Amino acid sequence: MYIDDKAFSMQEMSSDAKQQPGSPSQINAFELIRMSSFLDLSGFFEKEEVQQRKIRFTSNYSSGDLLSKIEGIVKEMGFRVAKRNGGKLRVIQAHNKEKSLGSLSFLTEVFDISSSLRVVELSKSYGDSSLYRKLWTKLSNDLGVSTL
Amino acid sequence: MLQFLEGLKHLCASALSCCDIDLCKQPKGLEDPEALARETVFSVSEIEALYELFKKISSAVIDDGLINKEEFQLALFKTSKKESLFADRVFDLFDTKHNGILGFEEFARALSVFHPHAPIDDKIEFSFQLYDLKQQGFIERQEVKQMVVATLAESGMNLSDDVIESIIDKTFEEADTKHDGKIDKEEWRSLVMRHPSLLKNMTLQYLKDITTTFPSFVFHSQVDDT
Repeated sequence: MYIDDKAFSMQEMSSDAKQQPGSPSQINAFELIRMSSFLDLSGFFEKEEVQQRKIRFTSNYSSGDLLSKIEGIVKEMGFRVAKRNGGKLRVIQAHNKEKSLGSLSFLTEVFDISSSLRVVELSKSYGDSSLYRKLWTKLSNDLGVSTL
Repeated sequence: MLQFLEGLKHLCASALSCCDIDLCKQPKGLEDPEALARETVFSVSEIEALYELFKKISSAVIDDGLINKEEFQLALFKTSKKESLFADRVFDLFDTKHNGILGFEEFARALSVFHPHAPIDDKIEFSFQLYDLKQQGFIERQEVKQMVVATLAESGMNLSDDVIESIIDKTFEEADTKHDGKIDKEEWRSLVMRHPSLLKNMTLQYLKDITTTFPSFVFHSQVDDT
Protein backbone atom coordinates (compact mmCIF):
# COMPACT_ATOMS: atom_id res chain seq x y z
CA MET A 1 0.00 0.00 0.00
CA TYR A 2 1.46 3.28 -1.04
CA ILE A 3 1.38 6.11 1.47
CA ASP A 4 2.43 9.46 0.21
CA ASP A 5 4.80 10.19 3.04
CA LYS A 6 6.95 12.65 1.19
CA ALA A 7 4.08 15.04 0.61
CA PHE A 8 3.27 14.57 4.25
CA SER A 9 6.62 15.38 5.71
CA MET A 10 6.58 18.90 4.29
CA GLN A 11 3.43 19.60 6.24
CA GLU A 12 4.78 18.23 9.46
CA MET A 13 7.60 20.72 9.39
CA SER A 14 5.09 23.53 9.55
CA SER A 15 4.02 22.86 13.14
CA ASP A 16 4.69 25.99 15.12
CA ALA A 17 6.86 25.70 18.18
CA LYS A 18 4.36 27.97 19.93
CA GLN A 19 1.27 25.88 19.48
CA GLN A 20 0.03 23.45 22.06
CA PRO A 21 0.68 19.80 21.35
CA GLY A 22 -2.15 18.32 19.33
CA SER A 23 -3.78 21.59 18.40
CA PRO A 24 -3.88 22.52 14.74
CA SER A 25 -1.99 25.46 13.29
CA GLN A 26 -3.65 28.84 13.45
CA ILE A 27 -4.41 29.51 9.87
CA ASN A 28 -2.33 31.94 7.92
CA ALA A 29 -4.10 33.85 5.11
CA PHE A 30 -1.74 32.25 2.61
CA GLU A 31 -2.64 28.79 3.90
CA LEU A 32 -6.25 29.57 3.00
CA ILE A 33 -5.23 31.02 -0.34
CA ARG A 34 -3.14 28.03 -1.37
CA MET A 35 -6.21 25.85 -0.89
CA SER A 36 -7.73 27.46 -3.95
CA SER A 37 -8.57 24.98 -6.71
CA PHE A 38 -7.32 27.51 -9.21
CA LEU A 39 -3.82 27.31 -7.79
CA ASP A 40 -3.79 23.55 -8.03
CA LEU A 41 -2.13 22.33 -11.19
CA SER A 42 -2.83 18.67 -10.50
CA GLY A 43 -5.62 18.98 -13.06
CA PHE A 44 -3.02 18.42 -15.77
CA PHE A 45 -2.61 14.87 -14.47
CA GLU A 46 -6.05 14.01 -13.21
CA LYS A 47 -9.23 13.28 -15.12
CA GLU A 48 -11.45 14.44 -12.29
CA GLU A 49 -12.16 18.04 -11.43
CA VAL A 50 -10.34 19.36 -8.39
CA GLN A 51 -13.65 19.67 -6.56
CA GLN A 52 -14.03 15.89 -6.76
CA ARG A 53 -10.68 15.42 -5.09
CA LYS A 54 -10.42 18.30 -2.66
CA ILE A 55 -13.16 19.28 -0.28
CA ARG A 56 -13.13 22.21 2.13
CA PHE A 57 -15.69 23.14 4.70
CA THR A 58 -16.02 25.06 7.92
CA SER A 59 -17.23 23.72 11.22
CA ASN A 60 -17.82 24.96 14.73
CA TYR A 61 -16.66 21.73 16.28
CA SER A 62 -13.29 21.78 17.98
CA SER A 63 -10.47 20.26 16.01
CA GLY A 64 -10.20 17.40 18.48
CA ASP A 65 -13.90 16.62 18.04
CA LEU A 66 -13.68 16.93 14.28
CA LEU A 67 -10.76 14.57 14.00
CA SER A 68 -12.31 11.96 16.27
CA LYS A 69 -15.62 12.15 14.46
CA ILE A 70 -13.90 11.75 11.10
CA GLU A 71 -11.82 8.93 12.47
CA GLY A 72 -14.92 7.21 13.85
CA ILE A 73 -16.79 7.43 10.58
CA VAL A 74 -13.98 6.18 8.38
CA LYS A 75 -13.18 3.31 10.72
CA GLU A 76 -16.83 2.30 10.58
CA MET A 77 -16.50 2.19 6.81
CA GLY A 78 -13.53 -0.11 7.09
CA PHE A 79 -10.63 2.28 6.66
CA ARG A 80 -7.42 2.57 8.58
CA VAL A 81 -6.24 5.79 10.09
CA ALA A 82 -2.69 7.00 10.61
CA LYS A 83 -2.71 9.94 12.98
CA ARG A 84 -0.23 12.72 12.79
CA ASN A 85 0.48 15.85 14.76
CA GLY A 86 -0.95 19.25 14.31
CA GLY A 87 -4.47 18.46 13.24
CA LYS A 88 -3.77 16.04 10.42
CA LEU A 89 -5.16 12.63 9.72
CA ARG A 90 -4.23 10.23 6.97
CA VAL A 91 -6.94 7.80 5.98
CA ILE A 92 -6.12 4.70 4.02
CA GLN A 93 -7.94 1.67 2.85
CA ALA A 94 -8.05 -1.15 5.33
CA HIS A 95 -6.42 -4.41 4.47
CA ASN A 96 -9.74 -5.77 3.46
CA LYS A 97 -11.36 -9.10 3.69
CA GLU A 98 -14.38 -7.52 2.07
CA LYS A 99 -13.44 -7.22 -1.58
CA SER A 100 -16.26 -4.75 -2.09
CA LEU A 101 -14.27 -1.98 -0.43
CA GLY A 102 -12.49 0.06 -3.05
CA SER A 103 -9.14 1.64 -2.49
CA LEU A 104 -8.91 5.15 -1.19
CA SER A 105 -6.38 7.32 0.51
CA PHE A 106 -6.91 10.86 1.65
CA LEU A 107 -5.54 13.41 3.99
CA THR A 108 -7.55 15.45 6.46
CA GLU A 109 -6.27 18.72 7.81
CA VAL A 110 -7.97 20.96 10.33
CA PHE A 111 -7.07 24.60 10.83
CA ASP A 112 -8.30 27.19 13.28
CA ILE A 113 -9.96 30.18 11.71
CA SER A 114 -11.00 31.70 15.00
CA SER A 115 -11.64 30.39 18.49
CA SER A 116 -15.02 29.07 17.40
CA LEU A 117 -14.44 28.14 13.79
CA ARG A 118 -12.41 25.53 12.00
CA VAL A 119 -11.73 24.90 8.34
CA VAL A 120 -11.25 21.32 7.26
CA GLU A 121 -9.55 20.28 4.06
CA LEU A 122 -9.90 16.76 2.70
CA SER A 123 -7.46 15.91 -0.10
CA LYS A 124 -7.73 12.64 -1.94
CA SER A 125 -4.35 11.21 -2.89
CA TYR A 126 -5.79 8.37 -4.93
CA GLY A 127 -8.73 6.05 -5.13
CA ASP A 128 -12.31 5.43 -5.85
CA SER A 129 -14.14 8.73 -6.28
CA SER A 130 -17.62 7.33 -5.67
CA LEU A 131 -16.34 5.89 -2.40
CA TYR A 132 -14.86 9.26 -1.54
CA ARG A 133 -18.17 10.97 -2.27
CA LYS A 134 -20.03 8.38 -0.21
CA LEU A 135 -17.71 9.01 2.68
CA TRP A 136 -18.04 12.75 2.28
CA THR A 137 -21.85 12.55 2.28
CA LYS A 138 -21.81 10.56 5.50
CA LEU A 139 -19.29 12.94 7.02
CA SER A 140 -21.23 16.06 6.09
CA ASN A 141 -24.44 14.59 7.50
CA ASP A 142 -22.81 13.62 10.73
CA LEU A 143 -21.08 16.94 11.13
CA GLY A 144 -24.10 18.93 10.07
CA VAL A 145 -22.22 20.60 7.25
CA SER A 146 -24.21 22.24 4.53
CA THR A 147 -22.53 21.80 1.19
CA LEU A 148 -22.70 23.86 -2.00
CA MET B 1 25.29 24.08 -37.40
CA LEU B 2 22.02 25.77 -38.14
CA GLN B 3 22.92 26.27 -41.78
CA PHE B 4 23.80 22.62 -42.08
CA LEU B 5 20.43 21.62 -40.76
CA GLU B 6 18.70 24.06 -43.08
CA GLY B 7 20.61 22.63 -46.00
CA LEU B 8 19.70 19.13 -44.98
CA LYS B 9 16.08 20.13 -44.70
CA HIS B 10 16.07 21.51 -48.23
CA LEU B 11 17.74 18.38 -49.50
CA CYS B 12 15.15 16.21 -47.79
CA ALA B 13 12.33 18.38 -49.01
CA SER B 14 13.37 18.24 -52.61
CA ALA B 15 14.20 14.53 -52.48
CA LEU B 16 10.87 13.65 -51.03
CA SER B 17 8.64 16.18 -52.67
CA CYS B 18 7.78 13.85 -55.52
CA CYS B 19 6.74 11.16 -53.04
CA ASP B 20 4.69 13.68 -51.07
CA ILE B 21 6.04 12.47 -47.78
CA ASP B 22 6.56 15.18 -45.24
CA LEU B 23 9.17 13.37 -43.16
CA CYS B 24 11.34 16.39 -42.70
CA LYS B 25 8.71 18.51 -40.95
CA GLN B 26 10.03 19.03 -37.43
CA PRO B 27 7.49 18.47 -34.67
CA LYS B 28 6.75 21.96 -33.53
CA GLY B 29 8.28 22.56 -30.13
CA LEU B 30 10.40 19.52 -29.46
CA GLU B 31 13.43 20.65 -31.35
CA ASP B 32 16.05 20.42 -28.67
CA PRO B 33 15.06 18.29 -25.69
CA GLU B 34 18.66 18.15 -24.50
CA ALA B 35 18.86 21.92 -24.18
CA LEU B 36 15.58 22.08 -22.28
CA ALA B 37 16.74 19.25 -20.03
CA ARG B 38 19.88 21.22 -19.24
CA GLU B 39 17.91 24.32 -18.36
CA THR B 40 15.23 22.66 -16.25
CA VAL B 41 15.20 19.94 -13.60
CA PHE B 42 13.79 17.48 -16.10
CA SER B 43 15.77 14.68 -17.68
CA VAL B 44 15.61 14.25 -21.46
CA SER B 45 13.08 11.43 -21.17
CA GLU B 46 11.01 13.53 -18.81
CA ILE B 47 11.05 16.35 -21.36
CA GLU B 48 9.86 13.93 -24.01
CA ALA B 49 7.10 12.67 -21.73
CA LEU B 50 6.12 16.24 -20.90
CA TYR B 51 5.88 16.89 -24.62
CA GLU B 52 3.29 14.14 -24.90
CA LEU B 53 1.25 15.91 -22.23
CA PHE B 54 1.75 19.20 -24.03
CA LYS B 55 0.53 17.74 -27.31
CA LYS B 56 -2.58 16.44 -25.62
CA ILE B 57 -3.40 19.78 -24.02
CA SER B 58 -2.49 21.95 -26.99
CA SER B 59 -4.68 20.05 -29.43
CA ALA B 60 -7.85 20.21 -27.35
CA VAL B 61 -9.40 23.25 -29.04
CA ILE B 62 -7.07 24.30 -31.85
CA ASP B 63 -4.53 21.81 -33.07
CA ASP B 64 -1.66 24.21 -33.57
CA GLY B 65 1.01 22.95 -31.21
CA LEU B 66 0.36 25.80 -28.80
CA ILE B 67 -1.68 26.13 -25.63
CA ASN B 68 -4.06 29.04 -25.57
CA LYS B 69 -5.83 30.21 -22.43
CA GLU B 70 -8.95 28.18 -23.16
CA GLU B 71 -6.98 24.96 -23.60
CA PHE B 72 -5.04 25.75 -20.41
CA GLN B 73 -8.24 26.10 -18.41
CA LEU B 74 -9.79 23.03 -20.01
CA ALA B 75 -6.81 20.94 -19.06
CA LEU B 76 -6.73 22.17 -15.49
CA PHE B 77 -10.36 22.63 -14.62
CA LYS B 78 -12.07 20.43 -17.21
CA THR B 79 -14.08 23.46 -18.23
CA SER B 80 -13.12 26.67 -19.95
CA LYS B 81 -15.97 28.49 -18.32
CA LYS B 82 -14.42 29.24 -14.97
CA GLU B 83 -13.13 32.74 -14.48
CA SER B 84 -10.70 33.38 -11.72
CA LEU B 85 -8.08 35.93 -10.93
CA PHE B 86 -5.83 33.05 -9.98
CA ALA B 87 -6.26 31.20 -13.26
CA ASP B 88 -5.25 34.35 -15.12
CA ARG B 89 -2.26 34.89 -12.89
CA VAL B 90 -1.03 31.33 -13.36
CA PHE B 91 -1.35 31.53 -17.14
CA ASP B 92 0.48 34.84 -17.17
CA LEU B 93 3.37 33.36 -15.23
CA PHE B 94 3.65 30.50 -17.69
CA ASP B 95 3.43 32.95 -20.59
CA THR B 96 6.90 34.45 -20.26
CA LYS B 97 6.79 35.76 -23.84
CA HIS B 98 3.56 37.60 -23.04
CA ASN B 99 1.87 36.74 -26.30
CA GLY B 100 -1.21 35.01 -24.91
CA ILE B 101 -0.16 31.50 -25.90
CA LEU B 102 2.19 28.89 -24.49
CA GLY B 103 4.82 27.14 -26.54
CA PHE B 104 6.36 23.94 -25.25
CA GLU B 105 9.41 25.71 -23.89
CA GLU B 106 7.32 28.03 -21.72
CA PHE B 107 5.23 25.07 -20.58
CA ALA B 108 8.26 22.99 -19.63
CA ARG B 109 10.12 25.82 -17.90
CA ALA B 110 7.12 26.71 -15.77
CA LEU B 111 6.34 23.13 -14.82
CA SER B 112 9.96 22.59 -13.91
CA VAL B 113 9.35 24.84 -10.91
CA PHE B 114 6.71 22.39 -9.69
CA HIS B 115 8.96 19.37 -9.81
CA PRO B 116 9.62 17.88 -6.36
CA HIS B 117 13.34 18.35 -7.00
CA ALA B 118 13.13 21.95 -8.15
CA PRO B 119 15.10 24.39 -5.98
CA ILE B 120 12.94 25.91 -3.27
CA ASP B 121 14.08 29.34 -4.38
CA ASP B 122 12.28 28.83 -7.68
CA LYS B 123 9.12 27.89 -5.83
CA ILE B 124 9.44 30.90 -3.56
CA GLU B 125 9.95 33.18 -6.57
CA PHE B 126 7.03 31.74 -8.54
CA SER B 127 4.61 31.87 -5.62
CA PHE B 128 5.61 35.41 -4.78
CA GLN B 129 4.93 36.55 -8.33
CA LEU B 130 1.68 34.63 -8.28
CA TYR B 131 0.40 36.49 -5.26
CA ASP B 132 1.81 39.84 -6.31
CA LEU B 133 -1.36 40.47 -8.30
CA LYS B 134 -0.47 43.96 -9.46
CA GLN B 135 3.14 43.03 -10.04
CA GLN B 136 4.48 45.82 -7.91
CA GLY B 137 7.24 43.79 -6.30
CA PHE B 138 5.35 43.43 -3.04
CA ILE B 139 2.13 41.87 -1.80
CA GLU B 140 -0.29 44.40 -0.39
CA ARG B 141 -2.84 43.80 2.31
CA GLN B 142 -5.62 44.57 -0.13
CA GLU B 143 -4.32 41.88 -2.53
CA VAL B 144 -4.22 39.34 0.28
CA LYS B 145 -7.80 40.15 1.17
CA GLN B 146 -8.85 39.85 -2.47
CA MET B 147 -7.25 36.42 -2.69
CA VAL B 148 -8.72 35.19 0.59
CA VAL B 149 -12.20 36.31 -0.45
CA ALA B 150 -11.81 34.64 -3.85
CA THR B 151 -10.71 31.35 -2.29
CA LEU B 152 -13.56 31.34 0.21
CA ALA B 153 -16.10 32.10 -2.51
CA GLU B 154 -14.94 29.05 -4.47
CA SER B 155 -16.12 26.56 -1.90
CA GLY B 156 -19.00 28.60 -0.58
CA MET B 157 -17.35 29.11 2.78
CA ASN B 158 -18.89 32.09 4.49
CA LEU B 159 -16.75 34.06 6.84
CA SER B 160 -17.64 37.43 8.26
CA ASP B 161 -15.54 40.40 7.30
CA ASP B 162 -14.34 40.63 10.91
CA VAL B 163 -13.01 37.12 10.84
CA ILE B 164 -11.32 37.67 7.49
CA GLU B 165 -9.72 40.87 8.76
CA SER B 166 -8.44 39.14 11.86
CA ILE B 167 -6.89 36.33 9.81
CA ILE B 168 -5.12 38.91 7.67
CA ASP B 169 -4.08 40.90 10.74
CA LYS B 170 -2.40 37.86 12.23
CA THR B 171 -0.76 37.01 8.92
CA PHE B 172 0.71 40.49 8.55
CA GLU B 173 1.75 40.54 12.18
CA GLU B 174 3.89 37.55 11.48
CA ALA B 175 4.96 38.23 7.91
CA ASP B 176 5.40 42.01 7.75
CA THR B 177 8.56 42.27 9.81
CA LYS B 178 9.39 45.68 8.35
CA HIS B 179 5.96 46.98 9.37
CA ASP B 180 5.26 48.81 6.13
CA GLY B 181 1.91 47.24 5.36
CA LYS B 182 3.26 45.07 2.59
CA ILE B 183 5.07 41.80 2.17
CA ASP B 184 8.18 42.01 0.06
CA LYS B 185 10.12 39.12 -1.38
CA GLU B 186 12.45 38.83 1.60
CA GLU B 187 9.56 38.74 4.05
CA TRP B 188 7.78 36.20 1.85
CA ARG B 189 10.81 34.01 1.82
CA SER B 190 11.16 34.09 5.64
CA LEU B 191 7.47 33.35 6.06
CA VAL B 192 7.62 30.39 3.76
CA MET B 193 10.79 29.01 5.32
CA ARG B 194 8.99 28.99 8.63
CA HIS B 195 5.83 27.50 7.12
CA PRO B 196 6.81 25.23 4.22
CA SER B 197 3.22 24.01 3.93
CA LEU B 198 2.42 27.36 2.33
CA LEU B 199 4.23 26.07 -0.75
CA LYS B 200 2.27 22.84 -0.89
CA ASN B 201 0.60 23.86 -4.15
CA MET B 202 4.01 24.57 -5.69
CA THR B 203 4.90 20.90 -5.98
CA LEU B 204 3.35 18.32 -8.25
CA GLN B 205 4.41 14.82 -7.22
CA TYR B 206 3.02 13.60 -10.53
CA LEU B 207 6.03 15.07 -12.30
CA LYS B 208 8.26 12.40 -10.80
CA ASP B 209 6.31 9.66 -12.58
CA ILE B 210 5.74 11.49 -15.80
CA THR B 211 7.70 9.08 -17.97
CA THR B 212 5.37 6.26 -16.99
CA THR B 213 2.22 8.35 -17.24
CA PHE B 214 3.11 9.75 -20.65
CA PRO B 215 5.35 7.29 -22.40
CA SER B 216 6.86 8.70 -25.53
CA PHE B 217 8.10 6.60 -28.38
CA VAL B 218 10.83 8.78 -29.68
CA PHE B 219 13.62 6.63 -30.99
CA HIS B 220 16.38 9.17 -31.12
CA SER B 221 16.82 8.94 -27.36
CA GLN B 222 20.34 7.63 -27.33
CA VAL B 223 21.23 10.40 -24.95
CA ASP B 224 22.40 9.36 -21.54
CA ASP B 225 19.91 10.36 -18.92
CA THR B 226 22.36 10.53 -16.07
